[in-house]
Amino acid sequence: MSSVLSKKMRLNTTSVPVAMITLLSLPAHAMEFTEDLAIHGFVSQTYIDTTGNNYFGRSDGGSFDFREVGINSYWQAHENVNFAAQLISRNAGRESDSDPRFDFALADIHVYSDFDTRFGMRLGRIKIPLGLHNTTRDAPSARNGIFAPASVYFEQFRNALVSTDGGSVYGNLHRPWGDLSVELYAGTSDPGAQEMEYYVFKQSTPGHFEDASMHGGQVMYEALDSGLRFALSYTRPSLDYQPLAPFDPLMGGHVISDMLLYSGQYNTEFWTFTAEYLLMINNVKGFGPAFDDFRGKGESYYAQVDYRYRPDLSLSLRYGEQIVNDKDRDGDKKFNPPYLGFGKNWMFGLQWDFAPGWIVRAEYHHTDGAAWLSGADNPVLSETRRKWETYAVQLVYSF
Amino acid sequence: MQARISTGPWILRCLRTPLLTAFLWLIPPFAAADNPVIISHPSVYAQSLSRDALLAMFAMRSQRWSDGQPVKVFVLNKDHPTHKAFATEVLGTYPYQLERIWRRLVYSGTGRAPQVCADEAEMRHKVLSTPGAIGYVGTIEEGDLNVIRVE
Repeated sequence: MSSVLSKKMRLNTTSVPVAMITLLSLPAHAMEFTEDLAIHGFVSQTYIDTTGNNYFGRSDGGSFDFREVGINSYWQAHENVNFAAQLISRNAGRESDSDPRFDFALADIHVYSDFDTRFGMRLGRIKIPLGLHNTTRDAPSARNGIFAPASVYFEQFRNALVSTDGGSVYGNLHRPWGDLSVELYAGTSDPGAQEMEYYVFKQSTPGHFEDASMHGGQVMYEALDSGLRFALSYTRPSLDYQPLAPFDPLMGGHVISDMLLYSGQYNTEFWTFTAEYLLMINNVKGFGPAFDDFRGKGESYYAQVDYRYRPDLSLSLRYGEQIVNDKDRDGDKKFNPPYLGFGKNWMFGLQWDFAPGWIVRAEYHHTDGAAWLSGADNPVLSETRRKWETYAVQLVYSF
Repeated sequence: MQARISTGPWILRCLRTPLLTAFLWLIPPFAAADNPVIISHPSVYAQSLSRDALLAMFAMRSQRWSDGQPVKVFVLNKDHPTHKAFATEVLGTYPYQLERIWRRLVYSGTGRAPQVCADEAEMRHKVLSTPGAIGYVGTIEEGDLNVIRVE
């Protein structure tokens, strides 16, 4: 046993530096085949250790389950038409099983474009512009941490929200007072295998949710020179439940949510201040005697400060909170166990861009509450813990 | 020289440092001679652009020249000293901000990032051979025909 181990160790000590040197010499920039075709991509591997609860895989006791691989291309086919697509394989617990899926695959038609104004439409699978991070929440080099802020970008409702099959119309204005972008969209999204069932009923059900119908829009103001960004986003996912007759205790009900997200960010040379506040109204009805209709209002927010100690080294501090139902802030009336009704999280993180194209991040999280735990990764909710720690290290390569 | 000043009227002696300082402040920012220079393809008519317009182009927001020709943006690596000087001194922003803006475009499917050149020689070559191109170099050299002035 010990000889096998030492052999392994020897192998690793020689192959790791070689592998690192090989990897570090990878190109740090997009591949440009022609002036009009660019290919980008990323790979990330995260080690997560949590105490008591599983997060992004079977992390209690340590896991390498969270892994992302993506490749994307942008092709300017014509002066007024471009195509863009991104294929992602994401392994992050039971709801993201690393099967490749298109994160977006769209045609962008520029209906009108001049020096400071652009109007157009996007058709196909488009990203949902929700807050500052939803469109890039699965691109590790574009995120503001190892995980997108969990209180606002919670995982239980991710599949329907990341992208939608449909279309959008947009307008971008560049004026002396700043840049204004507006985008309105409609489409349908796959809500994932069991994600919505755990989200609404806290358990897996015999029937299933059909594709979500999505509507919404975003208005964003950005002053490039002063580093200010503000966004107001609205989205309305609407889902129908298809019972498995005749065994299903539930009837064909509906879930409709209204999500309103306010976002702000201020950037200076050394500091970035970010805050987002989400108001979510859930309407659940029609599931019959086994599950009462309800209308609940949820609240989430986070505030984050990033300090760039050096251009390649930054520190982050974030506090975030999610209250699932504002009539039951402590969770003791409607939730069992009560701490499923909220999540309060402190995060301290480090990011080091140690070589062109490479990022390493380390984070410590202290969380009180289990609101954003995945039901699929923690099937026995009574065995979860109210207070839990997360230690995570992430290595990212992107080009 | 020095002797003459030091033996001059006491008022001059007292004012020498403040006067010199004031004079330095009055010099127009010809120190901009150290700033990177913006170059473009000969097909580009613009002789000068405001800082604001340049920022919009390098943030990939403005995608057409005023004559309707598509803008092709070229930059140097984010760690290149000329890129740092260009981002801070010319555009009035920071390399990390530009990087974030480009990453957002690339990974959301809503746009593309500028093409990155390995060095200034490649930058000159690409800008001169791509219609609608805009880029920058550390200092003007012979052969840099289309230099865009910052308004």
